[in-house]
Amino acid sequence: MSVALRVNDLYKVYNNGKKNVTALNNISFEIPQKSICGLLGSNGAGKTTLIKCTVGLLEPTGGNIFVGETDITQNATERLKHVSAVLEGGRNLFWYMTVKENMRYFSLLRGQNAGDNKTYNRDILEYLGIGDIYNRRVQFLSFGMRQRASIAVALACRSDVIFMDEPTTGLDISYQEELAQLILKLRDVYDCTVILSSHDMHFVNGVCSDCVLINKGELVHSGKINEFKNAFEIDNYIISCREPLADKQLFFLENHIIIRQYDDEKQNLEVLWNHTDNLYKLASILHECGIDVSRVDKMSGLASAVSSITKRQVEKGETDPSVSV
Amino acid sequence: MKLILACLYKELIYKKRYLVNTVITMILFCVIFIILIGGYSAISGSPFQFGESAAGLVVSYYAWTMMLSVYTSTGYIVYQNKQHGTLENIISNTRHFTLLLICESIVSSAIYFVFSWLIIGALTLIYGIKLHFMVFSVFTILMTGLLSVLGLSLIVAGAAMLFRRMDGIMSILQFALLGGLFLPESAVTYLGIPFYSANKMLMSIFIDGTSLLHLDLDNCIMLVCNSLVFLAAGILIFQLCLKGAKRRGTLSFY
Repeated sequence: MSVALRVNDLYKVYNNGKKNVTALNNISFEIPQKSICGLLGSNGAGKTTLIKCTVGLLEPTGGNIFVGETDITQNATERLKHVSAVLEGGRNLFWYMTVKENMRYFSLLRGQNAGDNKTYNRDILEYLGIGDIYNRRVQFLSFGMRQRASIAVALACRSDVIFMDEPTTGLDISYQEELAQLILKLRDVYDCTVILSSHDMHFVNGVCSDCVLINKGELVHSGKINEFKNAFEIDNYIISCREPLADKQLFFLENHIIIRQYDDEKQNLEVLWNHTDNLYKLASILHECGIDVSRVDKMSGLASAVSSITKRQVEKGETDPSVSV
Repeated sequence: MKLILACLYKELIYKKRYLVNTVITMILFCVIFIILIGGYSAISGSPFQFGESAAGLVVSYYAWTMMLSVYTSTGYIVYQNKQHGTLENIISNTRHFTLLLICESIVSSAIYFVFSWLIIGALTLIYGIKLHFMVFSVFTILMTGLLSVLGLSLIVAGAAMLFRRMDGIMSILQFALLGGLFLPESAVTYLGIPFYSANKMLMSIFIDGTSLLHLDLDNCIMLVCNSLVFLAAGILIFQLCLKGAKRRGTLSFY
């Protein structure tokens, strides 16, 4: 399958005058055409930085981003022709303009003829299920509607790669479900590649065909969503014991559960546990081993996925994170 | 061309949507004019015999409002868009952001040019102040002179992209612009103060009826030099600031 977007050794360092902060550390991946790709990572992972580098709002410190054979970090014309974005926050449209006026204005900025777009724009809104707000001012729309209006503006620009930065933020569960259905139809009807950033792995799991997982500016893994399924089903627990574990106990545990790591005192363990397995089973293993547990903490789902994939990569001796897990 | 169309489209929607605000601005323009004339007549003692000084007052006021229309159309626009969150969307949707700002400024000034002539014309008739309305001469000098203000405004706009709080400095600068017009004449002020030479020439056109062809050539050269230097500096500094903002990630406020 041909590639819609290729990111090559993308590197971004912020300099706030006192110190350098590495937001993206030599990230490389490819996104197939007409896929829905989830850009997954916790807060501060570098998702928004990556999107902003792609749409020309940030200047990468190093690396390239290709659409076809063109490096869009160097060629703004090609970037505008192929890429548009729905930025986070629902504040990126002019609130005093109607949805129609926003669509026309941003099309004009891109050098498109507003007159040609009338029917096309109407169709987009009908398709998005918001035909009735065509002539309504953005300031009077609900958050969910504003989100859809932003998508409509991005679609009006007729790009073949559309970025959505945290599209589920601020949406309740029912709107999230609607948005998921909408994105799925979007790819089929408008023949475009959708790249959405999120920290919600269940949303990504349900909507996306591909996934790029980043953590603290590093690429953890990129590939088809089914390559992530196992990782998404793994939970991470930190088990704190009252006494340091004996080597015999550790040996026993390692034969029954996956221990990702433990501290030097052998008192705190990080374990991976498939969330389809009963937690009582974990408790009984600990009990059988004679471990006196003082506390159990569950890590976030995303952190578990990162831990799980990283552990497998280390076990397989993979240094290239793009290799299948 | 599409950029100018986009700017005109946005500007007209804004004026229409905030019609009350637009009308209040027009009324304020008149009220300040009336207060100025009233204050002057109170000092001179004769309300309808002001002579050249009153005409000078009117021309200075006119020049200042035109300068403000350019000054606010870039610096403030960038600052406000950054606050509202629309700046990033504009930049990500246009190839020539600097050119877009220049177009916005031209459109905004052109609209204001028409509007202010109507008001000034009406008020000078009411108060019997004699001014020479030479459209071509005024338009040429005004637009050339305003390029220097545009340059200054681009510098402010660039700073607004890099720094979070700029409103105080912006307000002070607009009064500094006005103050600059009243500095004593010298080669330094002609060359170094934005719009200074344009203001003097506008006085000559409006009050003495000097046409563009009869203006002092040295002054014309100084006007062009002043405007080009300020505009070039403005564009250069704005581009550097934009690059800096993209490097530092300061295009969004929140």
